[in-house]
Amino acid sequence: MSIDERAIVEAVSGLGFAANEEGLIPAFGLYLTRHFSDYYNRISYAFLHDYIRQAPELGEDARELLQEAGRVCAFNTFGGIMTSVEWDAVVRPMIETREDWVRGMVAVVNALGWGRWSVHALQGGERLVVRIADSYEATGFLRDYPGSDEPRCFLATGGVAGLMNLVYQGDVTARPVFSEEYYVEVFRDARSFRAHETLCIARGDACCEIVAERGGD
Amino acid sequence: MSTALALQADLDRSILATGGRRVVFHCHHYNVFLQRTIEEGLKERAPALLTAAAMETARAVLNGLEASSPAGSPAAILARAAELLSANGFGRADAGGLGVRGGEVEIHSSHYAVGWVSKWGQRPSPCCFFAAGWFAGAVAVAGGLAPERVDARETACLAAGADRCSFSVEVR
Amino acid sequence: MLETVAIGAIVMTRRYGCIRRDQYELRAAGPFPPTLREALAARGAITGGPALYVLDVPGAYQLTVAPRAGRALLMPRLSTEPPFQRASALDVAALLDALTSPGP
Repeated sequence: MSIDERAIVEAVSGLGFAANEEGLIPAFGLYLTRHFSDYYNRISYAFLHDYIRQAPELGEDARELLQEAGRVCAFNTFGGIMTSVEWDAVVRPMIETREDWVRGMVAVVNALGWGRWSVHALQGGERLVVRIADSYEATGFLRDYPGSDEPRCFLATGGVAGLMNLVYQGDVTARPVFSEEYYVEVFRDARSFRAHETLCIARGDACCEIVAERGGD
Repeated sequence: MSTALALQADLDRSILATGGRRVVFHCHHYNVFLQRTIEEGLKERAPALLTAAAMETARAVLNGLEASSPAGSPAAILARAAELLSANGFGRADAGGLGVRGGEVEIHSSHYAVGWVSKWGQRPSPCCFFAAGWFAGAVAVAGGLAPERVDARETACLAAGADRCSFSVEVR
Repeated sequence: MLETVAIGAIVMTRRYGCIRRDQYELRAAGPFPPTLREALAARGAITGGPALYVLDVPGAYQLTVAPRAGRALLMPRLSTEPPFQRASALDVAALLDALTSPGP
């Protein structure tokens, strides 16, 4: 059996994620929100442009900070999902290889409303290329700005790097404790995966593409 | 939850929406970490940005819902706003004290406050900027008000030691 | 990880969730029996299918069950106190043990 993405998306979507009487949505051992991309995009791009207005070179700092938020998201959210009861029930039975952990998590992402992620290329342990159609970040950017010379999918870039770090730099299959110490160990090693966005619809490209590769030896 | 608030889902494109605006699932880890990033980077400018962005989001969503499924009255719009906030996982909102001239709102188990405390413990000041801006936007839509006439701020916060989160919305 | 306790054939692990509540993982050595779902249905509303289902007990907890994996997670309501949360988890663990353990 290999990863059946449609079955995963339907199973995850079928959970409903309805708020309880406390107004909270517990799922995957986390608290989810059905949040609004408008909000994320407005605050993220305003933050970015505030830094650039202070000094153009600060734009790189802002981009790195926003991608770090994406890596933290991957560490906690993807990590929580891949060690959850829901994962054991729906995805784990389909897994045959370590690479299936990557494909399975990408399938779950496709139930979260982030746009359609697909694994374009995967060299186990070395390189992942994810393409995204209808990225909520890039489409949101184009709603408010005329376009960009630079890519704009910061959450996704951090997320793709984070996914590879969880699966190949650390070992999410061993159900680690997602502590601050583990984050540093997995994400800040010289060989930890870093990602960069090579295509982005905010730049006029046909889709968004993110490449994650190991840090230099 | 009323059917008007149900998510519209395009599973083939992985797009979810409410009121014509895209909805994305994120957990408390990302929500509070992103907010902290912005607070630390923009410092005293952050609260205004976060609140204004939330107000704008609320206006877009609630106006979108009004276009497709009118609530019927200003009070119903405010009730819808509270119901939607709760249904989307931000905590149980009690907006009975809110009207088109402003008023008070309480949120029990506010997502941002609970999330913040779970990661970093207490903080010296309120953190629920999204909820504050949301209800400012709700009053603007319900009252047909220009957004610059409505202000909202959190007056007590679970993350700052209170037992629930309280908000004051004022109309100028 | 705060605590690991064996309740018969069930291993209960308590983990820190947030200031107001912990999470309780309940594990068996093998799959949970099909009779579990019916037994849980007496406690509250159940949604989901045979591979994954969720019991929601308003004012108390949510229990997510992967029966074929023999694994469940209990997430208490924030409004409940820690002793009640632990008692709820022990109660569910006892039920799982009663259904999972071989009879005399």
